[in-house]
Amino acid sequence: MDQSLNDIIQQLQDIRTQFEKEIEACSGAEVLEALRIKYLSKKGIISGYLALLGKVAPEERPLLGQQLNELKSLAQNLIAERVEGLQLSHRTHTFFDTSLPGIKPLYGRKHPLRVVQDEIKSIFTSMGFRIEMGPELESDYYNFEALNIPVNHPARDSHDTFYITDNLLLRTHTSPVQVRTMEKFKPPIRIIAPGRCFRKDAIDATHYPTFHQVEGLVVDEGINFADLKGIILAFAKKLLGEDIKIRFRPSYFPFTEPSAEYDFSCFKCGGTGCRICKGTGWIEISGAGMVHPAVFKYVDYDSEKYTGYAFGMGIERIAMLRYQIDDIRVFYENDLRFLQQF
Amino acid sequence: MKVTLDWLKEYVNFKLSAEEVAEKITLQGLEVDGITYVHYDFNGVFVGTITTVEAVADSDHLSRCQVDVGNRTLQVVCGAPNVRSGLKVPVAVDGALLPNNIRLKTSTIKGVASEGMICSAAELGISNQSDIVLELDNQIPDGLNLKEYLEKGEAVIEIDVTANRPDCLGVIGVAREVAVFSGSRVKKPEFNVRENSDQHVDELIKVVILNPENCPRYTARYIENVTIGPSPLWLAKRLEAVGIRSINNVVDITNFVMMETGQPLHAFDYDTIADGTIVVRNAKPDESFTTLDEVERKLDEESCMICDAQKPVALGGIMGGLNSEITGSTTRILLESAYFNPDNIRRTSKKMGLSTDSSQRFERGVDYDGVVYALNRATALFCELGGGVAAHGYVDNYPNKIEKTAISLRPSRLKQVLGIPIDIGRIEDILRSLEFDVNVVNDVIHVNVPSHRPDVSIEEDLIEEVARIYGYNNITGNISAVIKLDSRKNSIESFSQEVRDISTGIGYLEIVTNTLIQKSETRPFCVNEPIDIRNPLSEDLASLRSSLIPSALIVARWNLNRQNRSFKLFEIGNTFHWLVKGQQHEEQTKIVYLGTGNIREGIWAEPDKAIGFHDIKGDLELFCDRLNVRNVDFQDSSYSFFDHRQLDLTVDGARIGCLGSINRNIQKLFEIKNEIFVAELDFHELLKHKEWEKTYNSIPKFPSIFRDLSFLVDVDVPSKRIIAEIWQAGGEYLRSVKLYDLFTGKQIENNKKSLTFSLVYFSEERTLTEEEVDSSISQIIDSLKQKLNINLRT
Repeated sequence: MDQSLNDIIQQLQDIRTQFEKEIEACSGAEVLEALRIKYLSKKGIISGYLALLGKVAPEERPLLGQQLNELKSLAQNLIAERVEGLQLSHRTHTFFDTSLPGIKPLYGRKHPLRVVQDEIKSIFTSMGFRIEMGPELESDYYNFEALNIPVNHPARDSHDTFYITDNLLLRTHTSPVQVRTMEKFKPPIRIIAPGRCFRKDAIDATHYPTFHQVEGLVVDEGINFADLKGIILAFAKKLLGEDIKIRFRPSYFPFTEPSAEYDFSCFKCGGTGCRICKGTGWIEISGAGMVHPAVFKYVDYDSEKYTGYAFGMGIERIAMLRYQIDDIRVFYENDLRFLQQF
Repeated sequence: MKVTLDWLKEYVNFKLSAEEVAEKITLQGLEVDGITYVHYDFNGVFVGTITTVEAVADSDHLSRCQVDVGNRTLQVVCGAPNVRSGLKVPVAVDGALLPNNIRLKTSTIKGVASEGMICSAAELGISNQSDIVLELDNQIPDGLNLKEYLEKGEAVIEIDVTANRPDCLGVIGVAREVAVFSGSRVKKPEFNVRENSDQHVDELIKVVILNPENCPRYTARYIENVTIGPSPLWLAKRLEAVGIRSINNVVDITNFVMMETGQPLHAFDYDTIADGTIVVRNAKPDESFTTLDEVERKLDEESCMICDAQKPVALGGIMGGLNSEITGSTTRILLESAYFNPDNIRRTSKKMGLSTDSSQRFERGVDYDGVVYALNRATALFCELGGGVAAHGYVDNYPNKIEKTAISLRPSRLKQVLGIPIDIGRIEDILRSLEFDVNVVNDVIHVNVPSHRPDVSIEEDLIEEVARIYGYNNITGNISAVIKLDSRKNSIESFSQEVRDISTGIGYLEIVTNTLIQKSETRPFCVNEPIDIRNPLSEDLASLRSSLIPSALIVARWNLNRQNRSFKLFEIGNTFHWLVKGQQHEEQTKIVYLGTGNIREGIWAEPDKAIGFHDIKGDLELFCDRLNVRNVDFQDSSYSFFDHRQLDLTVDGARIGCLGSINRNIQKLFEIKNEIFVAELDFHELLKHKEWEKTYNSIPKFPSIFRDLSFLVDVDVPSKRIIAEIWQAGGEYLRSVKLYDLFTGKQIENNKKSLTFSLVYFSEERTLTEEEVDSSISQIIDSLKQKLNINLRT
């Protein structure tokens, strides 16, 4: 044996360094082929060393074999890579414009009113509420009478009603669903009723003859005003964040007693006063209260045993506040440039 | 309802600003809409006293007045009849600015220099009184800037009074609310009525009530020697501040007392009342009557009329009559203060379409015990400000005395409703502060409701009273309430969510449109009778849509007119029609799809590929598949709003909806030129056919065999027939038939098309042999040849 194993391995290292240098400098297919012949052909440099394998001591063979194999496959891989690279660069002669915009599939979007309504629904369903619905074309009985608003009640003034016949009308609020639900089921009741309502308001930036509300109703033993405040607070926090505050003001609805209006702290300025909240720090949301015993009487619930709360909210109002939309009409124009923003 | 801060201070002591009062009453239930400050539109007007008055030569009405305005004396020429020495008047000096941008300059009138102008109330924009100069209160010091004097402290608080609180349609009612938080009590003004003890009212006025159910109480007074004239400044100013025009002293006084107490009053010219007799009765059939506003009104038998011995003189509680109104020459007055049945007033007011300050108060319920106070208060003012003298006593016809409502409040019930206990002593204090009579027996609070609170009638009303004063915001929300889940499933809701998710997923934009529509726009889509609104907002919103198609077309038109040319839209919404006109209606939920323009509008790849009939059809097929609605098929249809490209969509043979291309007539009606494809499906019918359960089908273990077949077919043979035939002839291992190429053109003969189908075969038990598939294929070819005379394309 004229060379030590170490010497051979050192030589292999040098060959490797040399090969890497040469392949780095190599620029065309022909040079690459020459390089392949120089190193990898039967008479090439690496093959020459393979002949040495038989000459070293048996115990040294595995190590040398491994080293030789590594070098060989390295050379093969680098050459193959280079060949492929050269072929690719050859193809760019026909220009492929990768910079063209991606072709997007058509994707629909949900209407902002529905987005807000979906969010409200999911908040309440996550708190154990079920969704109920009722007809838009409603009877006087459900829209007014069974809600303790008899004929000639002054509260009818604030409901500018579209009538079809004496007894058939377009519902002015979603509250009729309260009565319909209580007629259908016994307590416990825990529902929200989203839906479309109508009032005979001349169209302007804040009025449209059709609009959407979400009604809430909870009836059971032991339901009270503090629970109502709790649910409204929980809703407000889920909708607008942990920092939101709520405020209840006494008000009047014939179908609740006590009645309240509830406000959220302004989610624009946080309560310090701004244009959105008109400087008050509060944003009026809607009405709420404890179900009036007269309403329970209509649905044959025992008002000594059961108590309940009801609340409402306007979808347009919340959507307008949330997206800072200042004209309700855009919801109903359905201009693509509007719809595509949501 | 507007009140001023100063006016409130007449009845209750407090030191808060208007903003603070507004905040507090809002939290107590009187919602404040806004605070404004009284503003007078003039400048350079000062208070002065006329020291001398001389006639101007060559004039029959002009006077030369010397006016002391504090630091100097001005000479002013004035034509008003009421200028006199010692009179306190407003004087506009040189350079003063009067309303409507009139600037005053020193001038010479009939040769006499005039250094200013003594102003009438009209010239200052305080009232309409223009024929005489404004007479000011003698206590106002000369030289005071009148604008500053008038505007000082006059913050106007506008309250949105809810329908249940008629008491707060009077300033005293609002003062009661202020008294609760300022810890004081309301003091009503005290006064003496100047009466002529020789003359008794019973000899002058007789009141007969024939309909006590509609007019439970009628009181009246007689006042004579009244001089109709301008109101004093304080009165005119107070009314103007709350939005009531000053007319004359008598009218102003009745308005003032109404604003103060909430009790509407009516003053008749006594000389027009036949026999001094008032008869209250319901109107007669076909009776008509001309009210103060000179409108002749048709009455009905439920309208409550105030009449004299011969004729009606007022529409009770709503408006007086033209035949008995106060005029400039009135000297004798019959003053009415009454309590009318709220329901009846409201009914008549609605029926007549006549809502007045008076009817608004009566229909909510005035203070039945406060009727006489208001009568006397106004009488005293007639005497004080109009020089009148009242006859002794008043008429009070009150056949059935209204008893105060008695209610009991159990503290346990209060806790049940509010969720918190409130100490019984605190409850008593709150109710007393609201002027309720309170008596506690065995821990139950017995209450007599004051006559000015007709809204309080049950225990819950008292609970609200306690809660609103205790403070809604002092009741802590219970956020950790145990939830009793209402777990009844709502399949409609989840189906609707699925429909919307799939529709947006296949590229449709969700729209929300108006239910109200023009009749001519819904009619073409309505098989039944459309439903009209009896009292529409306008003609173009006078019907309920009977289909969502016109709604979607309106949105399409809107966008097409705004250069939005390509889009796919959908909506879930309700439609309406009569089943039996006027008696039985149907409300349905529909889903509409609309597509127009190019599939890839604005995208560089294939930009001109238009949305076609089969795109919408494919969307529907995919939609039904995703919804797990099986056995979907299409049938020929004949809708008058589509052109020849139209189909019914059926599921298990039942019609679910339609699709098609909008025809020319409809395009014309909606002023649309573009090609529009529309589909409409019945939501609930579709829901019926939805399969909620999904079960897994195992993936075939054995390989499939694929074959393609091309046929040359007459162009008018529907592909559906061929596919049906392939299925029929294909045998049990044929698993899928798809049309994957349709070709017409030069390479094939005229009136022919080439259809290529891709067929898939497999078995769940074993690997099929080529021979088995070949035999199926030849059966298909034979069958098509035999039955449809179709040949394989070679």
